[in-house]
Amino acid sequence: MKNASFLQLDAFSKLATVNAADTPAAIEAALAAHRLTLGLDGLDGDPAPLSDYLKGECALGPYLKYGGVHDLVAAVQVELPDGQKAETFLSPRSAAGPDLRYLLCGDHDRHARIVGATLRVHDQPEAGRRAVYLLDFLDEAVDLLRDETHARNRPQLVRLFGPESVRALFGERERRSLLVVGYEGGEEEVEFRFGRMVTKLDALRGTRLMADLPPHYFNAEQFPPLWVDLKENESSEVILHAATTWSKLMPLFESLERRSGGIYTLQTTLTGLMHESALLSLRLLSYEGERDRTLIARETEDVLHQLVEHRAVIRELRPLNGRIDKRWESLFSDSLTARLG
Amino acid sequence: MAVPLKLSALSDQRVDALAAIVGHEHVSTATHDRLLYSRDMWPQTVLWTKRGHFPHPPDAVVSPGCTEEVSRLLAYCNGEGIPVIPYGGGSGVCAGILPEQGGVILNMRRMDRIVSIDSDAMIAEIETGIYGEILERQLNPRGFTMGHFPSSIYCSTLGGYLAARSAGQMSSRYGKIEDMVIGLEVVLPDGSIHRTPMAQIGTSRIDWNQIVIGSEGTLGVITRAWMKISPVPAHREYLSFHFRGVDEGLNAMRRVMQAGLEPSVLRLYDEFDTVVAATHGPGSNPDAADARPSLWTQRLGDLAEMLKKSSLNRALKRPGWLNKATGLLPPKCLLVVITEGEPDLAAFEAKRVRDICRDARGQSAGEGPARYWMEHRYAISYKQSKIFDAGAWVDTMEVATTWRDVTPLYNAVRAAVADQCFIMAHFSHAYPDGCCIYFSMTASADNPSAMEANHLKVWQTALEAVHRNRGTLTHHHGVGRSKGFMLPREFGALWPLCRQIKGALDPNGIMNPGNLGMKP
Repeated sequence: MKNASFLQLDAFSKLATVNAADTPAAIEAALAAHRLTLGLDGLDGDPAPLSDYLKGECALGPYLKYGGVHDLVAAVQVELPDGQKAETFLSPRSAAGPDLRYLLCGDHDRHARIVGATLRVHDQPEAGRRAVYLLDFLDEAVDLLRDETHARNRPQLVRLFGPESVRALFGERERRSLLVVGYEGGEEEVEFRFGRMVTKLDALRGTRLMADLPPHYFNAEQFPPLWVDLKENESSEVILHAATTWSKLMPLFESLERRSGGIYTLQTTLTGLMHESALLSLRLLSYEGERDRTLIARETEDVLHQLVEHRAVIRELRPLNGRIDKRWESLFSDSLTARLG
Repeated sequence: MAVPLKLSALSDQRVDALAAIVGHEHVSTATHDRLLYSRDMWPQTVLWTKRGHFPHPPDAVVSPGCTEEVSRLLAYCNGEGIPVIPYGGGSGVCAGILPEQGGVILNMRRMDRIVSIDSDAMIAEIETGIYGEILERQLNPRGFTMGHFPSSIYCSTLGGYLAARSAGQMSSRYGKIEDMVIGLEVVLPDGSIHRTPMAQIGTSRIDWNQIVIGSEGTLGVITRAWMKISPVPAHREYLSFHFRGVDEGLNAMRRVMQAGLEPSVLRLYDEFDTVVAATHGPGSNPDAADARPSLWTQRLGDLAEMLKKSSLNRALKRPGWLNKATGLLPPKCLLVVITEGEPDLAAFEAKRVRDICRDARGQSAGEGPARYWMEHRYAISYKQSKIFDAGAWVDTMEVATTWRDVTPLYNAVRAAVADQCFIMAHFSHAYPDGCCIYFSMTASADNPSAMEANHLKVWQTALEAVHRNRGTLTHHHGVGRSKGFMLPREFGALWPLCRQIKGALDPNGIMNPGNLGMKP
């Protein structure tokens, strides 16, 4: 991994200005030397540079522990089409006109190429606590996560696997949902917040467990996983991230779970919590030797239609072996962007 | 007093065309309406008004009742080249409303409904003409709050908040208005109606919410918004601390926010505020646990009384020595804190704040100052007219910067204008990476034109100092025409991109022309 170097580090304001060509993992490693962190989890092996995440080529949402992308990005430095360098004004908040961070991030470098970013960083956590539950009812888990988010006791880490994913992990006999929650920060903070969450989870119908999970799940580098493990002969074909409001989440989640029994396996994981919505990460799996591009495209389209029907907002669609189908590009455009050209 | 007002430039035919869209009763070319809607609360225009000067009346005031009417109005005005200035409560203080080219004031206040509430997702769909206080009054009985409490809440609207990137007094917990937006309905000058997708957690596309918010009526009209709402807090904890100077207090604020805590209120008053609190607080003993600060609210009233007696009025004409005198004050600054939410969470946050403040050498001042602040939090906006009546001007400047630059910026601005006005500040709207400095400035002069010139000079000097010290020129009041001249400097090489957005969405330049420094 190439080492990242800071262009500027303001530890007092908790801001680090970095080169966008560096990978998030390299930036994390450089920050660790200052006992600081971006609050990203699970990107260790990803070779994509930060700029790919900022311009919208890759989804950062599932890996963020402290809010959304714009909570992370305080300012961006860009190169304009005429070669001129520019940057958005660095301020904790401003009322000085439109916020161009939101145009430059997600714009796929159409108006300016992102070359650097000033990121909000955090002290490395003093403590962390994680809990794993097998819960009888998916909706009870969703309700609790929603209520704790609204009460501002949101966990930094969440992975909620539906029964179909859990069956893949534990075998046919297990049809419950798997919830992983994690809190980190100061010791006192973690004890209080984690304690409150666990008290509420213990009251749900289900089982708290750690020991029944496969051993590698206890490896700090891989836990909690974004996905349930692949079997030896499986591979990912398409990765999707989509957000939907809490009121539409359960029907969508259940619908996707039912869909998992299609021609190719679909894994659905709840990976992010926001005030009004939750982030779902989906992965379409195929078996080695049984790949049919036409069928995979049709399966993907079915899933996309399902998301659109439930009014989910699609954040990322990443076919791992091919380009995004032109028919799906409209999912990422809107009438105002079209006007800007 | 008869006010000379130039005639409306709109022909009867055009007035009839507007009336055909919204009804005759919702179109006015009456003198009193054109006077009333000719400005906002920018102090310069307040001074103009006091001498009967109304240079920029609109040609008509039109009040649409629904999005479709807004759409038809804009399409008509766009076709005819008639300027359109969206108008909420008129409480802005930066000349965001000033029909320099005449045109139509689009009074949004008929559009004031809460359309729906999604209680699972905690989203309210709201028309933007609703007053902030009425919105809260309608949400609260249903168990919700928007958590947006600007001091202008009785006379400002949701549309105004969105247009100018407003902040409420509890923004440290609930966020600024831009943090509360899920989606917007926007009508562009050609009459097209657009709904933005739900706000982003990722970045797969441009988030137009954050381009339209803060555009101050220069791109289109925000007719509806999907806003985050929160449960009405079940419990509040009140805390107050004294620190030995601004730096110690700021250190405590920074540590509270960087610890991940979300107090609803975190306000630090500089030495002058704290002394006034001790001197003029109603029946207060500054060393008692329940000491009540008078703070800026009460100080305004006191200041007005003193001005009426002329003594301070004379002093304000020589503000240099007055500012120097405040430098001799004992270093004692008051920090007011409120935490809220479910009882155990609010109590836990209060304990953590208490621990941090004590560790930062703060001395507890009990609950009193925080409770007093809470009870009087809206009083300020409605006392400023007394200062003007007494022959002086008063204005506020809210800027923001990173923690590293807060103290240098505070000192630089005070030093820059020390000979031009009396200046003081408090620090609020805190974030993990910085905070807002809210300067209050007042001065007097021998005659109205000298006052107007002095007011403009103070702003020019202060904003130059802000810019030199890496502060944004506004945290939550917006830009308007009063600060528009500085906006290209703040955007630097990205300013042409702002012009490109304006050109793409409003190619004929009818939307609030001249605002945000967008000169044709």
